[in-house]
Amino acid sequence: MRTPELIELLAADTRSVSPAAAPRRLALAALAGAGVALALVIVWLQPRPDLARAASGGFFWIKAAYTAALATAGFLATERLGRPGVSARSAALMALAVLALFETMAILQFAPMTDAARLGAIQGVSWTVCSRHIVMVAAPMTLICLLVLRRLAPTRPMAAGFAAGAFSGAVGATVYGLHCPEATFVFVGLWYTLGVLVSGLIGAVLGRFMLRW
Amino acid sequence: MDDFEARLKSLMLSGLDGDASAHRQLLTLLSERLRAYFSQRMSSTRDDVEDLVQETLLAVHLRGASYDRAQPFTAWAYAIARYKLIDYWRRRRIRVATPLDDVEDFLSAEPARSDEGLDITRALGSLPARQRGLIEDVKIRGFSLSEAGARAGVSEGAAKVALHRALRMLAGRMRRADA
Repeated sequence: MRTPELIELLAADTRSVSPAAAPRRLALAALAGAGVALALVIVWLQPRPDLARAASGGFFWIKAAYTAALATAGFLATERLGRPGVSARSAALMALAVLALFETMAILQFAPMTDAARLGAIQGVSWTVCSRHIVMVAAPMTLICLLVLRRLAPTRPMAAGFAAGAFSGAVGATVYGLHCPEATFVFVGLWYTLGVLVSGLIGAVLGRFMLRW
Repeated sequence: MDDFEARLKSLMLSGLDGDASAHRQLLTLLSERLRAYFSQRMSSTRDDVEDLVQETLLAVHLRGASYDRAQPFTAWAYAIARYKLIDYWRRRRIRVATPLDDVEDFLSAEPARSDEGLDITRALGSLPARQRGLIEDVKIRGFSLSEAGARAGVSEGAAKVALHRALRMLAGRMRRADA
């Protein structure tokens, strides 16, 4: 086929594209992924029994704000990395700022503790399962986001995959907060953050293979 | 070169709003630029250059949603062209350093002659009969979508949807042709 013929074909397929198409598709993917995460937390892990009481306390919301802020940065980074020739630096800086702020709080909480209290803060009651649960709750959303990214045009597949995975991990961690009773900066700064990062790494590896176009 | 950017961008914006003639003009101008860019960076035959031009045109066409209207058009198109070039090298296991160029090289490459694309013809041949028939009706017989739809016994709208799907399949098959 000659190129002018191809161009005629493509012109016959001209369709209007909304300027908001990319963020809208990604937001829908996030909504679907968050729905699956919520279903997993309700059916599989089950919400914490004292949810109503916890929700009236401050740390429940601080924890949610941390992961939600990471999710916001993750959304922006994923959306940027789906576009060729666009930098995702501001979104990455936003994620780093959120991370730095929360980890500073964790260090301030950790520093004055006795050794026994430190161990208790690090282990909480669920340190053996926390990160793993977050990764599993986030996994369906990671896949959905990668499928949406595939239809955009990511020119850096691993970076875009990482952003999609970390975005999903942060959304998953926010939903996981409905189940998880932990309430210290130290625990959340350690295990929640690890869950989000591992989810990002899984996204990067999957992205390497899935985000070819 | 700023004129080139301004002209292409305005064509792209009209195309994204559904203006087929602006879209055709955009792809025509862009195909010349792509051919020049790829020719300069590939030592192999003309056919390969045209394959890459066509693959990139398909990507530009199918992935318009990834264009941010606040961004220069040429930066977007160049990033896609560069990605396609690197992907092409990777698929054919050609080991070269990533191109040390930027958007300026893309804009200033010397024009080259247009040829026939082989990958796309092969990919077209591998499509299911219905998709292939639709593409050939529109391309070779020069039918409009409503005429092509009538021949297949479907409405113009359905033919339009089918053509879009067929083009997406075609783009996918082109990449796999030599994977």
